[in-house]
Amino acid sequence: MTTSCRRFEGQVALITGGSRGIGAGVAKRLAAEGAAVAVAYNTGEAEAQAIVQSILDAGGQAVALQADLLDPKGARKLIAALREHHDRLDVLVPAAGHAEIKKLEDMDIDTWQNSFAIHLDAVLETCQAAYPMLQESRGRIVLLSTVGSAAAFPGFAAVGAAKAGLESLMQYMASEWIRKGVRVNAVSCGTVDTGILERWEIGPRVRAFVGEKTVGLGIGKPEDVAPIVAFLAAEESRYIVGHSVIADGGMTLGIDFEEWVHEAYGKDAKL
Amino acid sequence: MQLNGKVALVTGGTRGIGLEVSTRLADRGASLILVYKKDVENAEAAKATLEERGVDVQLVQADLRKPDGVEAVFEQVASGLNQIDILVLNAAFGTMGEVDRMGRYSWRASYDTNVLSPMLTAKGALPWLKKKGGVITAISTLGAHTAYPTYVAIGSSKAAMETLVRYMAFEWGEYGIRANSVAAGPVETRAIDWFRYPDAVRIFTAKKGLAGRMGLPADIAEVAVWLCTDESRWVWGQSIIAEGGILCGVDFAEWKGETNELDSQAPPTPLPSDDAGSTATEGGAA
Repeated sequence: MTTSCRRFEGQVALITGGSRGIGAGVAKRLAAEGAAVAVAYNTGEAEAQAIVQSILDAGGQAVALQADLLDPKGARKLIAALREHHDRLDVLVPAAGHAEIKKLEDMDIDTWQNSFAIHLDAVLETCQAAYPMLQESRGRIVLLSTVGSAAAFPGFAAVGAAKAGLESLMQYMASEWIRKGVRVNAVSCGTVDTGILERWEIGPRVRAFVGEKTVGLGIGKPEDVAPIVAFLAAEESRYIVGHSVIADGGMTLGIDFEEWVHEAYGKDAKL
Repeated sequence: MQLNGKVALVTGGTRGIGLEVSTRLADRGASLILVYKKDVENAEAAKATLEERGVDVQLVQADLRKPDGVEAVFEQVASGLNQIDILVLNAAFGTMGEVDRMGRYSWRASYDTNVLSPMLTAKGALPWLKKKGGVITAISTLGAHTAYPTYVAIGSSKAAMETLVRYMAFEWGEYGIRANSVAAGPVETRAIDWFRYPDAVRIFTAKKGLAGRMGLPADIAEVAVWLCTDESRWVWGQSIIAEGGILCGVDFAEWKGETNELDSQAPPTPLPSDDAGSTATEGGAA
């Protein structure tokens, strides 16, 4: 950990999807800065426990909480579970998500609805459930989005469209809740090495493209995105309200999306 | 995130947002090259205060709108601290006025300070920034993303500056140079008095901005300094809007209506004519 500041001393942070990927990176970062973190996971119990253990080993405070956020009562159960450990909540980072690659012509209703259920419905319910606690502590919510919401990435429609909805939801939450003391922003990420590329059939080609063909730094790591989430959760960003900060290492500066489509689907494919 | 051993050049760094940025960079251990336009006394006072933090401070007086002014800055850098790791493009100027009142002189003065000067300054700093992969942070305005009353010369020139900064990120990324902007909402600096009705800006911002108050130079400076540190390493070529939530669901038409209402009570004074000379001042963007 390269940081020497401890901006979250005495605070409590809840990270959904905290057992892996960006969520895990955020959990470790906030814990390193003094936050007592609650790592919410659905199926990755072993991974969540490993994150918690690594935080405890580093002298931090952490607890793992199981939650099925697709269950209509899941978010409320999660906050009830959090209350058993902490009587306050300062930072909420809903990072739970998954991304299935599917072109629109092959899109089925389940893939589409599942994406909106986890990236939008579950986030809304988690934020609503956490809102009373966040109000008491003048808390912050940092949502995670993707640059694929503003630009079209091959096969990314279900995630991109849901995240575009999320960024709008972010603005509505920010405008309705800021006067109640709760500040909401988002980080819009480029391609980050979370293990998800390995699960995609086109993953290796996306990796090659982003690494070699975009003008930026290439594929990011959770540790590159976590400090930006931490910044938006910290006091120094107090005047940033209802915005999405793009953190993509320059990936979308002058990107040639058509070439990416060709990388992913072959040179005869159309954008 | 400490900046010991680094040198930051801050244009307009001796007052307003620029001074708050300089102070925070110095607090983190960075030495400073502060470029100011004409107020020697104020610049010397800023230098003395900043030097108490144990960093080197080099003052450079220059008119950055003139190519020879920029050249003179970098000649002094070469014979002074001879290092630039961080470039903060903060100096700003603009004439307030509606589109139909705008003249060539006022228009050019804004664009020369807000676009031409950042371009020449960044180009001049490039040989130093290239050495270890530097960072460029420009101070912009929310008026570049939406329309404020009487703000076209500043708003549109800052929009051009933000695009210039994005091109710097695009073209100089290969040298490891990272460039971004901060777009500030109305901030309580001297520049607020450039508005015809400064109190209208204050009332609007406090009433309509979700944060419920005017921005303070420190609110913007902390974002700018963060953009200068490695903490923001994954943010490239972006403009970070820091405006206390004004954009979230509010209506600028009301502010415009208030300006029109006040105008109807007392007509605004004419803008300086094309040959009346400049009243340019350095300082942060409103």
